[in-house]
Amino acid sequence: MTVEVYATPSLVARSARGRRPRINGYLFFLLPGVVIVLSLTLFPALYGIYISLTNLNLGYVGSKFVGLENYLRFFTWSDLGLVTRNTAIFVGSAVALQTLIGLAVAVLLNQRLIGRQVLRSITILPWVLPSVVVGLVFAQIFGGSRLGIANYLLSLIGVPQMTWLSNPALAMTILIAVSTWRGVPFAVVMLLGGLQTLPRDVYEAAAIDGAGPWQRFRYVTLPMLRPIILITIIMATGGSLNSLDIPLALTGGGPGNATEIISLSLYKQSFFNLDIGYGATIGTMMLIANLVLIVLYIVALRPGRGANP
Amino acid sequence: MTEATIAAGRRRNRGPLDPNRAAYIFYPLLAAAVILPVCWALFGGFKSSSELFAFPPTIWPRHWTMQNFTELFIRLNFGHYIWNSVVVAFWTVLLTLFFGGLAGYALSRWDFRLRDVLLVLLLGLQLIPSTVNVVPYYMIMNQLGLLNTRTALVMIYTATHIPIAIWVLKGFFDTVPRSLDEAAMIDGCSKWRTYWSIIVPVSLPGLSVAAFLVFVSAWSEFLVPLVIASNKEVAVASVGLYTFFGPDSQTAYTSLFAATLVTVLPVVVAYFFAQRFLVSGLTAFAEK
Repeated sequence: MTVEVYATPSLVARSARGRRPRINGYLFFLLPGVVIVLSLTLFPALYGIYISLTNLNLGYVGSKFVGLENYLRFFTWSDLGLVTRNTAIFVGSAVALQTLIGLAVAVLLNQRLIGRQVLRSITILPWVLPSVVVGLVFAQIFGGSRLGIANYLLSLIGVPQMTWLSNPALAMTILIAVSTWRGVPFAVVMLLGGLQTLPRDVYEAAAIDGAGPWQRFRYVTLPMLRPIILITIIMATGGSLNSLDIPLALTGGGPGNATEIISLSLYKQSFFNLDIGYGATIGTMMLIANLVLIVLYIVALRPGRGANP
Repeated sequence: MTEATIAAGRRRNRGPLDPNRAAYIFYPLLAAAVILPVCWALFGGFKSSSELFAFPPTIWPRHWTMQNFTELFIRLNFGHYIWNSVVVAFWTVLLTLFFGGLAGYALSRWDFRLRDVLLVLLLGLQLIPSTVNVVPYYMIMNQLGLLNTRTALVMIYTATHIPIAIWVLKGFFDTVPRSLDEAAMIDGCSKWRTYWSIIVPVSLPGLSVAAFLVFVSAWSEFLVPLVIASNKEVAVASVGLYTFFGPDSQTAYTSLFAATLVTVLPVVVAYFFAQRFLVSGLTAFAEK
């Protein structure tokens, strides 16, 4: 590794003795990374769109271009209504809970109380646990047939034993709860970071003007935190919409298809039914939803970037 | 009268912006919500099967046994899955920091057209989820003949994690004074040498944050390895866990908790080890 790249202010750095071809200094550093990223993020996304226009099936050899046939199938799919409803309930509830609980916990951890560092470490812990592990462990906690620990805890307050994951509404509730458990730490990290940047003098001014704690939260914290709350909501929406580890390990879409969400459909169509073309179609629809989120995210980041150049 | 006295007394003890000690009520609630499930799972590895399914259940094992672990490592050969995870995570971290660091340095030190556009583009690309890309990944790796190889996993993880490494490291390099580069340049160092002998050594905190983030994320990956590397020879720990203990498996659940312990131990240890600089690093990242 004896490549000589000389620092010059101009874009083109000349090689020392003219023996080497001209190398754009920064491109030499930048390109390898960017090319790797593009070739295994952007290219697969585009390739996925192409696959969605074919009838590729892992069970057969060869495939042909079928145009929008898969999309026609998607929009006339008998389960589309159910899956859309489940996805909306799951994503909506999980995002709302993660943001609200995350905000409450962030405000709590922002209080200058003794022990908050320890509590912060504990609170953020679920974020580093592999989500498939989280799904499998909570499947055991609510494992109805094995008298899971949840039944025991509820029996202490007199609730009869339940078969949690075989009850459609309960299974969805548990799926949302477990996703929230795993997702709150991320919201806390984001919102706590935001809270710590809020200037103290505004709070002092508000306190002098007679604003109580709730009023300070409502009229000072919330408006000033709005950009970060927005970004948290966008990120959490993406996280829930695309999450597959916890649903697969916890309910697998069941009972029946009560917790079948769009990401599970993608997985099952592609790798159980081997209908890769159709799976890619679902993937493309999800890509469109994600692109909307990504654009919103970048737009939401803008004002902050303007504020601190 | 009394009210005014109380209010005055309170004001003397506690300013309006001082923390309210009543908040302590929420401390045990919050801690229990996280710690109870985690401990139940982690200590479950040391319980006998009869105690695991006993009613009422226990958190702290009554009789400690290593039986689940011997079962896990000898009969299920789980060590092999952990080893695959280690290999894949190691190469992913190494390659991601290598390419991400170089690109982050370029984005930090050179002003060129479209630099900000590129930074935002990278951020956007990083948000394309693996759920969307898993079908094309399968087809690409199939065509490259890399299905059921650890190489395929390292390639994909490296590509998907370089953007976050670039963002973390560019942010860190921006805080390293440019005068260091200039001094090195005057001494005749190329940019390449400046980067490796001056910038990298002073950027170890930033590199650690990036390494930690990439490690945890790569260690936890599940869907991509499940689809493209589920073969027993190359399966990583998360895939092993799912195939042994997932809803469709026939394996006895007794080893699940032992496997959970072994799988989460590296990330949890790294997490508590990385605590101090991590939260400040993440907070700085979140503000970007």
